[in-house]
Amino acid sequence: MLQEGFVRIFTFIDQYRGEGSLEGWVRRVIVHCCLKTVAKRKPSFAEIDENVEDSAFHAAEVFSMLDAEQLLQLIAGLPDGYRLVFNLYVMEGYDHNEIASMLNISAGTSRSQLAKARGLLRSKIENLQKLPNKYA
Amino acid sequence: MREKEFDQFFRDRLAGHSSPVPEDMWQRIHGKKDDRKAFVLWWVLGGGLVLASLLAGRFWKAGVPMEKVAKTTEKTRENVGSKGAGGKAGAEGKTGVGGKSGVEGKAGANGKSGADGKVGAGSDAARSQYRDDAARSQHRDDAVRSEHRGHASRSGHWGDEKPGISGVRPKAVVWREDSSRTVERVHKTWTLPGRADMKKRLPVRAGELKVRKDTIQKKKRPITLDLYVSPSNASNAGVRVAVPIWKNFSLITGLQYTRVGFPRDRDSVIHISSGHFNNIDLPLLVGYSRELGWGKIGVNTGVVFNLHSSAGGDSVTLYRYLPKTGGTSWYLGVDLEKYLGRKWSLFAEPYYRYQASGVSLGLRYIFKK
Repeated sequence: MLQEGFVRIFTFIDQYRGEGSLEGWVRRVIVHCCLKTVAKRKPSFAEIDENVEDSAFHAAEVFSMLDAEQLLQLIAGLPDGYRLVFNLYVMEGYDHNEIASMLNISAGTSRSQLAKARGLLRSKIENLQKLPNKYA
Repeated sequence: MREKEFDQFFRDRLAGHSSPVPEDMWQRIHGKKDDRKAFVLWWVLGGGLVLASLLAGRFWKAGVPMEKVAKTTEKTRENVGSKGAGGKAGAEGKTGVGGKSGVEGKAGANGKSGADGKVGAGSDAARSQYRDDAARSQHRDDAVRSEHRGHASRSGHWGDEKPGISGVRPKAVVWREDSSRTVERVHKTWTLPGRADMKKRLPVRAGELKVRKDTIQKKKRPITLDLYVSPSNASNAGVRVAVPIWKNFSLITGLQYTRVGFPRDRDSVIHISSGHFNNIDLPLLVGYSRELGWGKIGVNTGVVFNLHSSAGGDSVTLYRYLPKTGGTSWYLGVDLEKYLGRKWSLFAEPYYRYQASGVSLGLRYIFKK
């Protein structure tokens, strides 16, 4: 995926018009390339019947102790649809309309997937807090 | 913690973060490429095996061909001076070899050694018939003898003799110096196609002889030439020829031009302008068809090889990001043909080709002798 992304960067380099940073443009090319690859696998955007409580987050202390790798592992453990929308919205900064057009879903589905992703991440972090001295 | 704070925490922790590259990353990439090549190679080998088996079946003759009518001959020797026609040689008795051993003679039709003797044609009516026949034949034979006197033999000729009692008619009369003659009888048989054990004798009735052709003509299917266009998502036009290989099967190949357009990307950030690929493809198909009277219906299947591909349009795009109509792809089509005349026909062929399905419409020329 990285190789194909860089090939596309060098192929479409003439389309970079200097508007915004080069890093941001390269990032968007890579994201687009990754989405094309993911689209081939036809990810499921079905909502998983998890008992995710959309309530206040009670594990802030543990949350603050998690490093980047651990957070990445938590995100990788999400279902495909949840993970896609979470990454595009939170990490890449796309809005729901843009995500909907990129993933060929509705904006409502995008919002729902994001909410479910947040809830699932919270519950996982809270479960970590219950483990004795794991992150102490 | 609010949602915005939750999201911001992830952004702060993961922004600028880069995971170390796994040590086996290159091996993973390399292995994935080999799988693709192996996948295509297996399909090509499988298609080659199918074609090879069809060609082997075309040239494998399991049964006796039906081209020729088998002929067997048997010769009998007749001594005009001493013997009659012999039991089987009743014809000779009838034809009246003349002289001493004529029909009337002991060895003739009335003689014991003659055909009459064996078959007991001792009735007056039969004897009178044979006398008449013998007399007629005697005149003919005398004329022949006088014409070819001194020659050891002459080529046989079809006589007008009536069939003998055995129902076998002589084919030729060969005169010898010792006035004996050899009569060739013909037992005509033919072999039904593909079944060497099925032989049937030609029924020859008294007074009749059915003449069969020596060779039964093979019904040959003609070679056809197609000109077609296909207005599909991967529009194409081409020419192909179908060569009959075995029974209703044909080998089809040709050349076609395919234009593959790729869609405008819906990503609002990255815009890919329109473009297309210009492909030259080589179809290699096997076709099976059946006659319907007014036309034909058939199935064509095989592989389409991409010989050349070049990008065109506003921007050049790498090959792999487009619908995979390049390389090698399977093909399956249903051929519907309507005769326009003796040599021309129209055909429509809805087909499936990986990521490039459509309908071909074309004109077909039939090479008929």
